[in-house]
Amino acid sequence: MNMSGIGKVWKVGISGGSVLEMNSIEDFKEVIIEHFRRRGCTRPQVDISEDVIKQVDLVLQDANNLLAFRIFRGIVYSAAEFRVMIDEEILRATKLTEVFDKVYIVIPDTYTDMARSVISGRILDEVGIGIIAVDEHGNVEELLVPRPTKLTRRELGKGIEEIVGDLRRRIDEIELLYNSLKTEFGVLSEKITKIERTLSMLREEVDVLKGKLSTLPTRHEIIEEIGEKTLAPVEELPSFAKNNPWLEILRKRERE
Amino acid sequence: MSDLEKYKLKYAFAEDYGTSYYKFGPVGETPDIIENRGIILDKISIVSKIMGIEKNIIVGPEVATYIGHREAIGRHLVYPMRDGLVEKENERSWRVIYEITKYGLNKHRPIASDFKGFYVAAALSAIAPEYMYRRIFEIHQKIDEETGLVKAVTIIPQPLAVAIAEKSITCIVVESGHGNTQITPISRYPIREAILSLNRGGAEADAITAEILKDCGYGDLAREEKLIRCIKESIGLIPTDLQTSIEKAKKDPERFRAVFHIPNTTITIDLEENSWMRFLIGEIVFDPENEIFESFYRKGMPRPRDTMVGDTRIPGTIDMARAIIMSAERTSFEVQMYLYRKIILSGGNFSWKVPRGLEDAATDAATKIMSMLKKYNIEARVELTKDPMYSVWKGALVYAIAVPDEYEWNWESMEGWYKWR
Repeated sequence: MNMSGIGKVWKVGISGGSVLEMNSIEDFKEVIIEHFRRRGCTRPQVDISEDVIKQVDLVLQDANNLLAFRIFRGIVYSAAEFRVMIDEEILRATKLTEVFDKVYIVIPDTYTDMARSVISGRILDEVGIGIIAVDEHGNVEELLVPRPTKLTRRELGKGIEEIVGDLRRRIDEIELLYNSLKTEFGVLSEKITKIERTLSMLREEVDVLKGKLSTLPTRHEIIEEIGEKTLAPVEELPSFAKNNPWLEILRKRERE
Repeated sequence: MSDLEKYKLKYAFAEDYGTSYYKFGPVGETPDIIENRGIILDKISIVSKIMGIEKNIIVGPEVATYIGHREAIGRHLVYPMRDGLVEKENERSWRVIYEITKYGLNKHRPIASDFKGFYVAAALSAIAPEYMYRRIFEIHQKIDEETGLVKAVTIIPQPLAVAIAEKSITCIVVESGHGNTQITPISRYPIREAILSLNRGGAEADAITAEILKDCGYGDLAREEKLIRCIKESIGLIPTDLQTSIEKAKKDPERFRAVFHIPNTTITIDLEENSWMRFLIGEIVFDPENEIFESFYRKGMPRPRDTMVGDTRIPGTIDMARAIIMSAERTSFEVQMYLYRKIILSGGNFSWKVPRGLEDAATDAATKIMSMLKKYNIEARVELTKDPMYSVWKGALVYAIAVPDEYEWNWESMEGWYKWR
């Protein structure tokens, strides 16, 4: 049945018995949670203020979208009464679109016909509110799918700008770090070149010394004499004197 | 190890007579240090007598408490050494040296029954004349007669002590202080015939800093010596290559901008577009012959005096690399290649910083000399002393520990223990 003239259609709910057996609000919540869980929705992962929570019966999260549910509590006997009460309900739900991406009004399916006759699908589409009907057996039907609100998107956009700004700052920091590392790398590679140069000179020196050592005659008696007479216990020497080649050279001075 | 050698190891003592500081102490990792200066009170004032001051020469940390009046400083404060030397006839200076030596030995008098006096190794400048050796011996003998603190004394040239501290047997030690620079080749002994002394040091860098300050409009500040030294140390840079570094600084003055704020004042020195001149401060230490300095000499900045080595006149402005080569070439051909394998730079005049971000134009003293030598086709390894403050003292202590007790002082080799007991 075409309700709004822009292509939105009320889906007809399961209109079984007129007595609603699901009296408790908790019963409603359970079936809604189960229905949306099957679609991949979860409990909300973000903090929502206490004031807002008080205004809704249930909040779920679908990917990045926050879904709010208000359960229609009124007991009405005529279409006129239903109109008055559902208008109030829509008004409250409209305020919630400032905070949530999608807002649903949940009605017992016994009111489906009344809803069809008194609610304008076009207006609900404009304000971004959906209607869900639940029957006494706990079957859920989405009569009108809400459109995500533009305001929420704008707020999301604001968040993205912040994130992008933060990312830019981090990229700048990384660039600075990269530049300083590049400079340090240059200095280090220069030092390594120097070390390599020194090493090759030392190698040459060792080669020369090796050559000289091989031609020297062995003089055990002198070494033994020096060893016995003059070598100081290494632990008594200050650190700069330990393994200092000058100790031996200076000890031989007079003999030279 | 004989008992005598054990004793020497226990009671070795080293002294480093630097122009600014006297470092002293027995076997240990670091020495004590006091300023090489003293206050001579010609007449002990009544107030001093009341305060219990009997002696008329004050040395050590106490000196600071006597420096109250500027005029009094000029009259009484004595810095005995100038470029590492004490004038022969300057008795006031020798009195201070005596007091400083006695102060150092007394401070470390051991309380031990086996103590019969220290084996003292005193480090003096490589160009210290013989009369200084004789006076140092006399001073130690006199102190021993008064206190029993000295068993024997020997003297070691400071560059040799640096080589010992650096554990280098064959090397060239280049020591550059405020007023002069000594180049000493060492191969187991200091090669005395090859020692070359230049009449220049940190003072030249101070002088050009003062000229730059004048040129940049800070002429009033260019008269304060200590301030000039601070500015030199803060803004002076050694150029990798003078011309290239100046070009870079002129192209990008902001990057090379030299700004110095005088602590605790409102004065800030900013060389602005003349910041390239900071490279002149470092360059003059290594190559005062560069033509860029001619205009400064013409304006009255003193040109370093020439020195005579034997019959050869060494120009005061000779570049550092050429001076090192001249010194090395006075040694035997065979040892030269080994000398170039380790050139050790010591002294405050080689302590230059390379600020972050200016590594492409500024360099350190060791790299500068290495690249200067390369221009003369000399491949050398140049390094700064690991411990510029204490390396002489450390080397002197190793010398005192190692030279055998039976080796008596020899005036020809200038080595051995001088004894009188």
